[in-house]
Amino acid sequence: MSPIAPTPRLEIDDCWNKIGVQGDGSCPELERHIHCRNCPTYTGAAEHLLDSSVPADYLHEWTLHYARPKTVVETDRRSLFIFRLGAEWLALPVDMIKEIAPLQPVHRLPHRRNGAILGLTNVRGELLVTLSLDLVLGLEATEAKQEKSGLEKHRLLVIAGEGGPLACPIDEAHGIVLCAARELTEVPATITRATASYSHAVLPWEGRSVGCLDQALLLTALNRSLT
Amino acid sequence: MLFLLFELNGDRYVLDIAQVVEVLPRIDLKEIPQAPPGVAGLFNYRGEPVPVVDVCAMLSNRAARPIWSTRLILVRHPTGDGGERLLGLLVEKATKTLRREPGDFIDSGITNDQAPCLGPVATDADGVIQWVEPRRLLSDAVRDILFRQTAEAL
Repeated sequence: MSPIAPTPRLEIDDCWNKIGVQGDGSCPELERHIHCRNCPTYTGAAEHLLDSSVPADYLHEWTLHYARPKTVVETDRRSLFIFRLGAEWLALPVDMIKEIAPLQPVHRLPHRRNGAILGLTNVRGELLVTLSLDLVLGLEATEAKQEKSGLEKHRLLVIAGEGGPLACPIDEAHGIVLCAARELTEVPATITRATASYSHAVLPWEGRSVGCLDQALLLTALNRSLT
Repeated sequence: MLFLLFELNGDRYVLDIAQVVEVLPRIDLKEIPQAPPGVAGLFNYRGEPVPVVDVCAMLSNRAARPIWSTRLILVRHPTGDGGERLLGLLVEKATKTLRREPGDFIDSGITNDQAPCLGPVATDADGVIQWVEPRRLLSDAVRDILFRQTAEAL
């Protein structure tokens, strides 16, 4: 193996400063390339810069960098909308939610007194079927209804259902949280709460356990309630 | 198909980008005493010892120049017993990628037992580009020495 030849000092012809856009603009190539940065001569000069020798401390720094373990950037993140139904804090994927509207009066449908359908609600001119999420999920709807003090927190959650938007009154809307997939924990097998069967994971959030509702299961349950 | 271009004595060669794990700067290497020719040394990659082969030295008996455009390309190399290990390739002028169809490359008609890694060639306005298959870069004897040694070192 022959010894490494020392790199000669680079000579760069900076035509862009003389006849190019930063010079007098007399370069005939400018007509074709408009600006020096589009010209292959300019690119070639930039590449030529990489033909100079590298400072030893620079390489040493990179050597140390690659010796360290890689810091993994969290990529598997999801946005969840957190809300409250009675005593339960629940979360839904945000892409399932169309809107959070102020609570409107619900117009009851005649002969539909039973079941989860509460009636129709006018959300910005559109009449939406309104369902009781408590009943759909099999929660005890009692505590929520008696809670008069927190009425100003009540909202209408507009969910993108399979057949169109559906409205569900909720007791409190917290907002959207961004969480990493690894923060989600399994639903404990010992939980007997009704929402457990609709939850696919539990998110620890501000000292509470938020049940993350399964999108497919919830949509099926909502569809079933409509019939 | 995307390729990584590099140069050797003014000629252009390409590697299939799907085989490249990472492109690193030409970082400091620990020498391997009594190593076979073409072996540049080894370095600590995220806690794992990785041997480095100087492709310039291996194919043209000249060490890669210590300049910015000389880079270290990490690829996976079969260890011979079914597994794969990381291998560093020191190549010159690894500054560009090239998009070509695999069908553009045709058999060069020359088979060289000394350099089985050299594959088919493609042509363009600037000349001939040769496809390099990094998995055939090491002979079985060199491969056994490298992957046994690096497993013991560090």
